[in-house]
Amino acid sequence: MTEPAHADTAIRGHAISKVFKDFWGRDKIAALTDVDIEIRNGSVFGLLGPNGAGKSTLLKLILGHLYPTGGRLSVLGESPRNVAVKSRIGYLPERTGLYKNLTALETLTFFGSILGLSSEQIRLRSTQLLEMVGLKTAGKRLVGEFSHGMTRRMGLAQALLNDPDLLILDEPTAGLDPVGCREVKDLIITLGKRGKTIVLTSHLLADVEDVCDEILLLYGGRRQSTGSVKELLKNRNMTQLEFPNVNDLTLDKAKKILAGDVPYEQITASSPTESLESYFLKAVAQSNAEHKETAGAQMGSGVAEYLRDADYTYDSPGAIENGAKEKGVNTRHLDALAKSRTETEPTAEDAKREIDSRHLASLAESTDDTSREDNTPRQVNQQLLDELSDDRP
Amino acid sequence: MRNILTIARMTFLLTSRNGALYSVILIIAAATGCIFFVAAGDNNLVNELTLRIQYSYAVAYSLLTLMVIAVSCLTVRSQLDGKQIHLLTTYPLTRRSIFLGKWLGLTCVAALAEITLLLALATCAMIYAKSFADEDIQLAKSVFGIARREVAPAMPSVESLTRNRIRQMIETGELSTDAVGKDTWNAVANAVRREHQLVGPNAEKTWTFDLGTTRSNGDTVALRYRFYAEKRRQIVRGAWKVAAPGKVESHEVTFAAYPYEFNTVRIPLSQIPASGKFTLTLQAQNESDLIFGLNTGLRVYCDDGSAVANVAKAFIIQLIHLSVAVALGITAGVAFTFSVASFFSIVLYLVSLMSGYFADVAAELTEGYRIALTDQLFALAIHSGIWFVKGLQPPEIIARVSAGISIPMGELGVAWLPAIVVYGALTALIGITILRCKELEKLPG
Repeated sequence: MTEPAHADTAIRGHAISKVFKDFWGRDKIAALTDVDIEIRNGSVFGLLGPNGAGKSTLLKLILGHLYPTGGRLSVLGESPRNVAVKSRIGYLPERTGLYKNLTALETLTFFGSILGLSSEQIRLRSTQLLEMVGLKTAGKRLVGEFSHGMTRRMGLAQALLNDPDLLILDEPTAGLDPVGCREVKDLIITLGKRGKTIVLTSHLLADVEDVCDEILLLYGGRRQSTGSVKELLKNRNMTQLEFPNVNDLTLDKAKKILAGDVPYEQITASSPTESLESYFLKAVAQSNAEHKETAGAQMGSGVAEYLRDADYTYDSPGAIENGAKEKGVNTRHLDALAKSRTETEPTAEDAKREIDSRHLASLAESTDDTSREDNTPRQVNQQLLDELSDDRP
Repeated sequence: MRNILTIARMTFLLTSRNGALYSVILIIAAATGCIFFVAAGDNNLVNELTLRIQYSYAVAYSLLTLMVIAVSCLTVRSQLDGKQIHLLTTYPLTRRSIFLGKWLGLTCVAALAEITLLLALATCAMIYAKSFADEDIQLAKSVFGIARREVAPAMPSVESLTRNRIRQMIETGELSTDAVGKDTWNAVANAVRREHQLVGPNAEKTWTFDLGTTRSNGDTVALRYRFYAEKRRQIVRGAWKVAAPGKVESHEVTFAAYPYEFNTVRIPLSQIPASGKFTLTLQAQNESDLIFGLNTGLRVYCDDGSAVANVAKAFIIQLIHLSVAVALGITAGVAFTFSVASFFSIVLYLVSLMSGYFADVAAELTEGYRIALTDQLFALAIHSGIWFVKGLQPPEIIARVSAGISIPMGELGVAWLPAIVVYGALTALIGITILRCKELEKLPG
C-alpha cells in the first residue's frame, strides 16, 4: 500500500512490516516490525543497525525489490513499484551488480540509454563521472578487471548518471581507500547541499556521523531511535575547548578560571592528534603531485560539473568557504590538495601550513557553533578566549 | 520498445563477450563438419549429399536447440545471481521489457548460430563435391539448385479405411460386433494396406493427385516411383497414363524399370489442368505382383522456386522454433535455479523430440474398433504429455531441405505454427508474470 504523498517528504512509511515466509507459507523471519520512517526532501539520512537489523530489507522495500507484508510506504510520492519514479532514483547496491564484461564507458552508455539520455549527454556525463570517481584513465577497461574499490567507484558513477533526486547508497564507502571514502563523503555533502535526498547505510559510524543529518537506528527489525545526528550525539554534560598551544602558566591560569565553575579534577588538557584520514590524504596528495604512476584508481577530480548546483561552483573560493563551514573542513582540504596537483608542487612546509590553517579554522568554527547552541558554557569560553588572546606565544 | 532494443543489444554483446556465442558457433560448426564427413552412403553424389546433409543438419540442429536453451537459462540465472537484474529494476524499466529484451538478444544469438549451421553445411557440401566428376557435380547442381514441391497421392488414412471396411463387414453380417478385437482389426488393416499397395499381374491401378492451383515453375513435373517385386532383377515394362477430369485425351509415357530402385518419368506441365487435379494410371506388363509402398511408392515433384529461397524459409521457421526455446530457457531460468532450470527445459525438449514415438504408442493403444477404457485413458495421458511439449517440437523440414524439396508453408502454417506460437506466447507470459510478481530477492538463488 502507498503512503499518501507529502510535499516535503521523499520517503514516508508507516508501520512497515516484512515477514519472510517458508515454503509452506508459515512465518519464518520477521525482518521488520511496525517501522515508521520519514525522510525529508534534501536530507542526508543514515540507516544504522547491526547485521540482521533490517537495514537492507528496508532499502529493498524502498527500491521495490521486496514487497511489505504490512504498513504503507511511498517513495517520492509514489509506490516503490512505480516504474516512472525510478528515473528520479539512483542506487548503489552493496554488491555492485555491474556487467563484468563491459568497459566502464560501455556500462555508463548502457545505463544512460535506458535512462533516455541523448548520446551527447551520455558522453559528457560519462566523462565527468569517470573523472569524478577517479576512473578517467580506466574508461576502456572491463569492469571485471577492476579492484573491489574501483568497482564501488564505478557503481557510484552509474548511480549518479541520472542526477537523481533520491540517491540510495548501500554501504557507499565499503571497500574504498581513504581517498575514495573522503571523496564519496564530500560528494554526499555536495549533493545534500543541492537539495538531493540521500539515504545510506553503513557500518562505518564515523562516515555516517560525518555526512548524515538524520539517522534511523534499527535493531531486530524494530526502530530503536531516530532524529537529527547532532541532537542524538550531543553530550550536554561536557564542553570541549580547542586552541593553539600556550605555555603551562597560561594553561594553569585557564584551569583556575574554570575551577570556579567545575571541580578542578574534572578539567583535562591534552594536545589534539591529527586524524589518520587526513594524514593519509596528505600522503596520497603528495604522491599525486609528484606524478607517481598507478594502475589503480586515481584521486577524483571533485564533483562532476552536472551534479553541482547552478549557483554553486566547486572551484569558487566562496563556495568552498561556505561548504567547509557548514559540513566540515575536509572539502576545503581536498580542494586545496587538488589545486596543489595542478598549480604548484607542495612542499612539506606548505602541507604543514595547510593543516595548521585548517586546524585554526576548525577551532574558530567549533567555538562559534557552541556559542550558538548553549549559553551557559559559552560565556565561560568567551571569557577564556578573551584572556588567552593576550597570552599567545 | 527502445528499452527492449537496448537490453537486447546489451544481451547480445554480453553473450559474445563472455564467450557463449563463440562457443555455440564453434561447437555447431565442428559438429556439422564431423557428422557430415563421418556419414556414408552409396557413393552417388546426389544421394550422398542428401544423406550427409540430412544427418548432420538434424544432429547439429538438435544440439543447437539444446545449447540455446542452456545459454538462455545460464544468461538469466547468472544475471539474477549476480544481481544485475536487480540493478536494472532500479531504472525506469518494466520487468516485461527486461524479459523481452533478453529474449530478443538471445534470439539474435540463436539466429547467428543457425546461420553458422547453414553455412557450415554448404561449405561441407562444396568441399565434399570436389572429389566427384564434373557431370556428377552438374547433376547435383540441377537437383539441389531448385526446390521441388512433393505431392503424394490423395487417399484416406489406412485407419479410416479399415474402420469403414469393418463397418461394412458388420453391416453385411460378415463380421459380428463382438468378434472385432485387436487381431481382427490388424488383419483387416493389413488387407486394406495390401490392396492399396498391390498391383496384380498385367493389372491397372490409378492414383489421384492434386498439385493445387499454384502454377509450377518449369515445363514438366517429375513422377518418381519405386516398386517391389518378387524377382529383384526382373525388368518391368509398361506405361503411365496421365488423365484429368473432364479432359478427353490422355498423355502416355512408357517405361522400363527395375524393382527396388527409384525411377523418374517426366510429365509435360501442359497435361496438368489449371485445377492441378489429375490421375495417373499404371498399365504394367508384369508377371508377378508389384508393390508400391504407401509412403515412398509414388510421388510427383514440380519445380517450386530456388533452393536459396527454400533455405531462407527453413531459416525463418527454425528461428521461430529457436525463439520459443529461448523463451522456455529464460522462463525456466527465472523460475528455478540454474541446474533445475536447465534440466527441466532440456528434458521437455528431449520429450518433444520423442513425441513421434509416443504418438505411435498412443495410436497403437487406440487402434481397433472398440477400445478399452484403460487404453483410452492411457492414450489420453500420452496425448496430454505430447500437447505439453507440442510447441517445442522442431519443424519437420530437415529431411525436405536436405533432399531439395520445398517446405510446405501452408501445411506448416496450419499444423505447426499455431501450436508453437501459442506455446511460445504462453511460456513467455509465464516467465514475465514470475519476473513481475515475484519479489526479486526471493527468486531462487
